[in-house]
Amino acid sequence: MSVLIHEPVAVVAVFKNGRVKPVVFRWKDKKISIENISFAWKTMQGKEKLLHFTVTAAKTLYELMFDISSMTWSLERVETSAGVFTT
Amino acid sequence: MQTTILHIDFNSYFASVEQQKNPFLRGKPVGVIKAEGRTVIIAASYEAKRRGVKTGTSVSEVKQLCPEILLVPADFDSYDYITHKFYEICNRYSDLVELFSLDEVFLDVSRTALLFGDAGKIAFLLKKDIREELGEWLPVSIGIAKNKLLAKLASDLEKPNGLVEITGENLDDCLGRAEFEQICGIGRRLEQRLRDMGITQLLQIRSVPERLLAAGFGPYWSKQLRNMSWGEDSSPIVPSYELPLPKTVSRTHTLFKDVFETVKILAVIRNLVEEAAEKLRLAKMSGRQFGLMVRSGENSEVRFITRKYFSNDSLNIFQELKRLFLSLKWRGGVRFLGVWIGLLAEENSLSQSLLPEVNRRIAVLSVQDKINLRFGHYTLFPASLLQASIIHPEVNGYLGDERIKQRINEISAIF
Repeated sequence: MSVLIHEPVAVVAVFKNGRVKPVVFRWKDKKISIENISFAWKTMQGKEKLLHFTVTAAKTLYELMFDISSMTWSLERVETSAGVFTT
Repeated sequence: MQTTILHIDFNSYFASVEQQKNPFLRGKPVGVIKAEGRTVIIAASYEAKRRGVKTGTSVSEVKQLCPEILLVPADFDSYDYITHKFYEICNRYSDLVELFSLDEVFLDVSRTALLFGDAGKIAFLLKKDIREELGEWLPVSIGIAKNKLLAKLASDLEKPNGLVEITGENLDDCLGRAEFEQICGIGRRLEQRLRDMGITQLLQIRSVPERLLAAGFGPYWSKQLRNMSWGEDSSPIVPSYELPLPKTVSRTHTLFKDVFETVKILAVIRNLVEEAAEKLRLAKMSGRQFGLMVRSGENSEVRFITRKYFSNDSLNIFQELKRLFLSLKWRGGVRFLGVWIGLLAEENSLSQSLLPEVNRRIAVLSVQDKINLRFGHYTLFPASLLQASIIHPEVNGYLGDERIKQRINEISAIF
């Protein structure tokens, strides 16, 4: 099931060779260690660049977003392995 | 010099991207729908295709064919991102790259193949780059041949993740195996007309007498079909920088359900006009033909009006379309709306207005466009859309507006 979150989160990330890689984040007072980044993509909101990452941790898929202009991270979406959005 | 064309095609594009983004979807039947609440599958994963799910199948039908299907809403931003990365990767191997649609590209490697070894080596490198930079769950099929027609057919012969080269030796074998739907240019109607003449296979066309073919398909198509049957095609690669400027700009939208209230229908028309007209303004273009498409169930109307003056003012164009809609005296609900602006011209070829009220509007719209460019679409929008849920721009699968986008980028780079 996909749940829209859109909350600011604290993220530990590695910035290397012009790339950014989230490693750990804190949500609901829990430290979540990222096991795998399955995909990363970029969108634009006007002139602002937003980096999106779908990451997995403990059989759950999270979508993190990094707003380059404000240097802030947010957790956008959470999806458990139990099922995906159905209509 | 022998021409060598590569056709690279993502397999089950939208569904593969969703499986790349979400590992829990991999190996499972996935159907992509346009948005939550939509009732038609716009892309299916290979696992779903094997169960009979096709693009265009309704969700209710899909649930019977494949009850365990996982439906996910489309995320056009990520598809658009991958298309542009894909295009960037292809440009490493040739200066002649044609983005044919959101998920397929033609490359002319005639002059660059030797730099990398040969065309087969380029195909191998492309697959490697795509896998490493975009993801392991985004397979592409690649076709290699002497022209676009055969390269596209070759990429279609082995899916997913195929690599097929059509040469002089296997040409007849490949053409003989091809279904009409695999031949670029043969649509459903043309296929039906061929079948009506008893032609069920491409190679048969070679032996049909010239006059019979001409009588059945006219001078243009009889020649095209004859060439196709021999695997001949002289169409060139058209890089995006050589695309002609568009003749029309349009925007369509299918509503979630039939809408009956005129005020709501007009709000959607205004919303669609805002997007189309903004695109024109940013591309420094204007049009003088304004069209409207309205559909619901069996009822369908297309109306347009041609003026002597050019405009890219959304309010002005909306007023023209509002009059057209009201003149339809439409009864019942509306499910689909489309607007277009045609007979386009570049602004620098048009004379400027001397009327102060027109120039005031131009100044206002210019500020609106700057704000929306800076902060995102619909940061500023007409007050008449305050009560409506805004329909945002989305990627067109056939990249119909790619040339306009490119022109906007060129212009914004200058200013």
